[in-house]
Amino acid sequence: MKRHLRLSHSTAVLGIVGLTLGSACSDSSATQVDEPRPFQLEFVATASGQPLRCAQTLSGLGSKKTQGKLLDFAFYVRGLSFIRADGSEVAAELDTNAWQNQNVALLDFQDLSDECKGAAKPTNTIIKGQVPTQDEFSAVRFTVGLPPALNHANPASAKAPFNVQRLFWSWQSGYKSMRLDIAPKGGITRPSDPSFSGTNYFFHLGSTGCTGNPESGRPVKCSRTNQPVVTLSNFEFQKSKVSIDVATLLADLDLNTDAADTPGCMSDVTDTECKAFFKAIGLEFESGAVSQSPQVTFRLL
Amino acid sequence: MKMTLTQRLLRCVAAAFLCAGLAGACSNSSSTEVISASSDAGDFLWNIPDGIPLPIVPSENPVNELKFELGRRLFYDKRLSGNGSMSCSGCHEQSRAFTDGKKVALGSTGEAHPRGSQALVNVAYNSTLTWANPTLLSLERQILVPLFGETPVEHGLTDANWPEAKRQLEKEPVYQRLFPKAFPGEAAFFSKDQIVKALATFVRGLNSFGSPYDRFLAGDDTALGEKETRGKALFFGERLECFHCHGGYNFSDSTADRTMTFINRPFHNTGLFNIAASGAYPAPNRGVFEITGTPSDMGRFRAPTLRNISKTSPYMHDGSVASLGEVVEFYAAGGRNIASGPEQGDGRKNPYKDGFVTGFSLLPSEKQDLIAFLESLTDEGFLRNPRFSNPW
Repeated sequence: MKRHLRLSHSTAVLGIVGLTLGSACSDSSATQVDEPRPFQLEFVATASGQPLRCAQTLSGLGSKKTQGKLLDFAFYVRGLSFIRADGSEVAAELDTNAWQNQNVALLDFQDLSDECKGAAKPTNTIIKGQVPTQDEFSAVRFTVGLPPALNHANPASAKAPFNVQRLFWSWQSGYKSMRLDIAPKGGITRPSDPSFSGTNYFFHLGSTGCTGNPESGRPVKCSRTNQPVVTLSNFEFQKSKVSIDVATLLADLDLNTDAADTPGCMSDVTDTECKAFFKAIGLEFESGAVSQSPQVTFRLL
Repeated sequence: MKMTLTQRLLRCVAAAFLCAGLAGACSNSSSTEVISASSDAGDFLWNIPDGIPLPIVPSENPVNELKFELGRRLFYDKRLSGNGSMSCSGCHEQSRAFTDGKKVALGSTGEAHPRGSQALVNVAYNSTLTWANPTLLSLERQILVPLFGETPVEHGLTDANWPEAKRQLEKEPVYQRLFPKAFPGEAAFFSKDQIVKALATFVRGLNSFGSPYDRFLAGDDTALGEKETRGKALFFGERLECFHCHGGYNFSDSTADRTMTFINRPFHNTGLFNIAASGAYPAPNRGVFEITGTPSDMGRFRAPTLRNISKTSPYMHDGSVASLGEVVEFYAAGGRNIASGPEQGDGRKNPYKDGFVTGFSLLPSEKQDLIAFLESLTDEGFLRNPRFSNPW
């Protein structure tokens, strides 16, 4: 195979490849050929309106209105689509860049490295891409997390944005879909263990109960995918921003007390603190499926 | 400026060629665990005798001596940690069959691991890695856990300190020489992937089949004494049932090799705990349950190899059993009854306990015989082999 395809050669193979790749090229046949439209979709992270930055002292967190400092906040978004008024959905094609690959974006709000104790680091708050149509949209939809094939690929050789170590979840053979780490003022105690003393309150969302072997090509299936699907209506294309309020995730929890297992939630099925996190973000705690009751963490600005 | 049909089709053609060239990327079925001659390209000193099948090697990381030598140096290098204080060998000492003698391991920042350091003995054969994880199927994936894991911190490498750790490694002339040799033709060196592949190759070579028991199997009738021979009969007998979980040439039922038609990945609850009679083990040491959340996976752990077991005390995933004598007593009792405290409960009655852990009666002399047999699985050559020692 020649590396550099010359036009005269390519036209010769055009017919053959076009025929054999029916599904990959199907969008060119039936529907009207439309001009792709670039877009940017900004995500704004706050805690009840307070900007989510390392330097910010956050107040009013959780059921006891605790003060706290941000240590980490980031999440992966996949399956971004825009929805027309008639309910039909148009998949966005994301640009490929340091934060986006294979139609997955990493949104990263941690502005200082090393748990907000280190040097300044880049953040990413904007998804960039295009839609293949000029149509109007009234809603936006996305899934939090990586698609299964990427979630279980080898992180040691992964390209950006899948090479971010703090989102590796190797012991669960995947990635953290979302990571929120907060240091509550006053620390964390555990009623069942007087000797326990903690500093970090976690929300690590990821797929659990996974089986299969990604390296032999056997598909990995997870009994709890734990991937919220978020749909936001009253959307104005190129105007609306997506707000994510981490205070909603913590609202029913006492950040100074570890009620079960790890302080906060690492998606463990027996960690009762996960119930509040999962409910806020629109997941059934028991099954890890998308909840019937709507999520309250994301809304449009 | 609408795209013409030709332009769009040309895009498809380009995409098709890209796919043809990058089959793995498009089909997402990059095949590993493939047994191929290329996995053994070049000579590799396996330390595995004829008659024992070779372990499975991932096709994307074929073994060779250059990678082994690089991996050996990385294994003994403290620069491979967040604060420069901890090498793999910090918890895996050769003289202790690559364990550390502690109940639980201590990470580079002093954080205690919930579990004890495992022996690195014949790990190339393990059908799953670590104490209890049905999803960790290759050494390459397992090695990411100690290097980059945060709960708990082991080597403590992070996004923030990795660039500096890498710079320190790059300054080493030995590595400047070895990386290009181990990974010829690659455009850049010192990548995480290369480091993991080299480490995996080193530990894949840590094979032990030179114990008195092996010499007995090879035809040396003097290799085992009378006590060891009686202990062997007890070990492989139906009264004690040891061999069901600790059977085969590797003394573990969690063993995979190239001759197998299918691979078992078993785990067992041995009745160490039964908190409040619920079957529960203490978090975060609940075995496979930590991964799957399935109630019946409570307390299920992988049966480790018993090769060199006399060197790897204390025993069990949490180091809670001090000696081989206590281990034998534990199995004779069919589990452990904890009479008081937060872990109170009769493990002998754990509802998820393995059917072979039912207890047995054993004369004191028989106990000594059984321990003598377990001690005959010690491979002194393995513990002292210069090939596995600190090269720095």
